[in-house]
Amino acid sequence: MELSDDQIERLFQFTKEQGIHYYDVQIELVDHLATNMEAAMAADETLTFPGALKKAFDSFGVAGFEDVCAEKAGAANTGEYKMLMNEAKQWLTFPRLMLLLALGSLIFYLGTVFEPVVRVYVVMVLSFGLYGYSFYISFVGNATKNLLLLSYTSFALAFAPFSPLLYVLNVGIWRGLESKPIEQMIVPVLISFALQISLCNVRRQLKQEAQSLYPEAFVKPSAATTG
Amino acid sequence: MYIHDMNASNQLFRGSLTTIILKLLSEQEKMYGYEMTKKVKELTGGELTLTEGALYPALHKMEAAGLLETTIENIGNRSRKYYHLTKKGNKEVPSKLAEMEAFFRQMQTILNLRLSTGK
Repeated sequence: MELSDDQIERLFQFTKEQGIHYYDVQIELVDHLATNMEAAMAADETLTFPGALKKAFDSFGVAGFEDVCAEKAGAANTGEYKMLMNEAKQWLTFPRLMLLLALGSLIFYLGTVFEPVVRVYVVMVLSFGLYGYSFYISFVGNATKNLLLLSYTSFALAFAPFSPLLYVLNVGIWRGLESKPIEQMIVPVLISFALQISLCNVRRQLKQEAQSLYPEAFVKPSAATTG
Repeated sequence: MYIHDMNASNQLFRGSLTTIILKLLSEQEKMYGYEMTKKVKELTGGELTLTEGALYPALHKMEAAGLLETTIENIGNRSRKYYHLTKKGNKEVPSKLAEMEAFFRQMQTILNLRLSTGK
């Protein structure tokens, strides 16, 4: 006996009531509950939907879905951290390392050809550019449903763009634009740029993965048939 | 006197979950969570139960470790998440099975020794 669309929707609601707000976790739990319930209801025709649901949920043990979600969150966090580390390591290899060194040299060179303050402006422009890129990656074409797969990078990206900007503000406003030569801080600025680009790349890869696994989670609410 | 303690068996069983999941997926290209619990129940004649509360955390850990990958398939009015072995997961199967076999041999040796001294 197959559960109806309405009953499946009730199972999604049930997972939400149990504290599971991530769609990518919900779909697995809903399918598990539904398959279990269908088998139980086929074996015992007197079994009602609530009775079968109780039986299926009890099989998750006293912690219910709590352990499942906690472990999934931990695993997602670990997975994303590994991806970020792999991305960051790329900056120590050719050609990215050469690009970074070229950028550092260019910023330094501009300060010698023009006024030293030009370096600050260049870092500022690049910071804003990266901020725009981070914003684009974070918010444009995002999922309309909560996805655990994307939750950690959203948080990290919200803070990442501020590191080079804080430096610029520190140099430019509080200390005077020319008072501190930027070459003293060029390495931290470049590291900050590299990490931020890495974070954006991880976010982009995760978003692509999420789009291929859960295309329905990216459908705009007006076009979606279910919540 | 032999007392069958299913809880104790299940505790031992939990420690071997990774190996069991790897073995199941090496024999069947893809499986979903409920299917795994059913398969284990079938294979053990209902003696051991793979609880959902233990299975899913193990699956998610293995996915994060790069041993498993997932695909989603639409089955009527819902989606189903299937687990597959990755290349790394496939490589892990023989070593995990060998590790388990060695562990059983060691346990056997220890238990036999204890049994003989207990006579």
